Amino acid sequence: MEKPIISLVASAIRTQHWLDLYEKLSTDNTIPFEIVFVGHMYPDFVLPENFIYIYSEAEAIECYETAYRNSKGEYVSFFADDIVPSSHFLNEMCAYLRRMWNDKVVLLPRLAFEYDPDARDGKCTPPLDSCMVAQLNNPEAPVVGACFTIKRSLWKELGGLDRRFTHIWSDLDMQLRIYEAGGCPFVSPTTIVWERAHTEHPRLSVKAGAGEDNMDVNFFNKCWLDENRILLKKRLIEFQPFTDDEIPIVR
Amino acid sequence: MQKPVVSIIAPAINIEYWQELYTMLCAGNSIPFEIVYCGYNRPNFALPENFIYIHSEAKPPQCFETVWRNAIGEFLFIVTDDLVVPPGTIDTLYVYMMRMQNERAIVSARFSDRLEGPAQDNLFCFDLANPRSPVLGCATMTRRKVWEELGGLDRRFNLLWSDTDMQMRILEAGGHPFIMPSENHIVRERPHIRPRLIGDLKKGKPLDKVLLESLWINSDGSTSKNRLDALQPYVANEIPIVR
Repeated sequence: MEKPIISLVASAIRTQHWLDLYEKLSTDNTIPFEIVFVGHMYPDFVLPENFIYIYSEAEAIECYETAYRNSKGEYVSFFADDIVPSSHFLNEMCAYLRRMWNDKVVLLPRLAFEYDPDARDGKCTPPLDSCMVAQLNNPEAPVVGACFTIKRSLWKELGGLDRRFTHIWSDLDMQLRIYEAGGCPFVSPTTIVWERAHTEHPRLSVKAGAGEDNMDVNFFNKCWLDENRILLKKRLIEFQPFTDDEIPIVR
Repeated sequence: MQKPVVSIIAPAINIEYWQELYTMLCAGNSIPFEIVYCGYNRPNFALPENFIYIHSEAKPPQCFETVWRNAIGEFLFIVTDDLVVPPGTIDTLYVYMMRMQNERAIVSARFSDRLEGPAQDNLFCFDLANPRSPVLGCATMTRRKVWEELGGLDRRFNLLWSDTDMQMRILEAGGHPFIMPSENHIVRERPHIRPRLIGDLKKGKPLDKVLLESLWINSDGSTSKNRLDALQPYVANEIPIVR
């Protein structure tokens, strides 16, 4: 197998979408890539060589950390298995990454909801550019987004994801930690990811109503909001990484 | 006049477009702005209070230096006077500037050299063939104080590329590029209704490109992250301050 340049890592349980995603990425990209998915749903089909599945019954965020630690690409993309990328997604993301002089850049695609499988690129719902902000009513809140891609060395330097998150917002926390460390966002204007409408396994997403009673949201707020609920540039709570014996290394 | 937050600056000679652009900017933006243009073509109409014209027969980069030094906004929005700027573009650029965690951010609109059709995103590099050549922008917004810190433009440029050199220097100093992703704010270039400075183009384009490459391209063809020669700034008596 050719050494991957980019690894798409995710906690993944929607096996019915996996081959569609792989085919989409394989057919219109020339950049060597690998997919590393971790979760409790065994696929009932044969996976290609550069599609690694690791069985785990751990919480979603621990699965993400497992996927990252078992990946090999120079770049790591915090992905999901209900995502449909636009054409040439990997090529264009990598082209922009290579043109960045800041090693701590957070590269983001544009995000759109409600993918229509019968529509071609550009005919689905338009990207939600104005939502790509950590706190919309705060004029200084930074640009953040879904499916961020960073250098593998940066993920390692940061110590990975905080083990206290369980299902959501660890990616947002990591992006803010990167900015705290001097990083910057860049949104690739030509790449879009669509999120499929959920008919099963509803995710604990913002759309699905992850409100103040969600423990991940609560923990995120303790980390980043001041007493006036304004987003801070410096994290208030010390980071806690996963320990080595929590994360299986299978490669 | 309300103190401008954004100064829209350009060396400018296409006076037939000036009022239309001004109207467009007033209608679609709430951020206080001023326009500062400099060039040899005097407008034959009255200009609003926040539209400053400075007459100069100097070469375009010197006019460029003149406009930023006479600007008073916290932010500089670099244009040419033949651009079409969609409603809300200045406001949106400003919003993104405020959201950048980097004081030396370079925030750009997407750009097209025609009035219709998609943005030409792959043009945002001066050395496109080199995959490591950094992302640059057209129609960029930066903080004015960054220009002050870096000493302004290099006086050796005759016509083109001085702003590209400035962007490279901002990146060298720790800056970061950001392109506004939305299709709603694609800045477009009009078709040229008259040949622009053809004589200058013939002598200026190759010479300026050679100069730019000598400043940023290593002998092995790679793009240098450190400028290869020191800045030669304009001296004070070359640039009129009229405000």
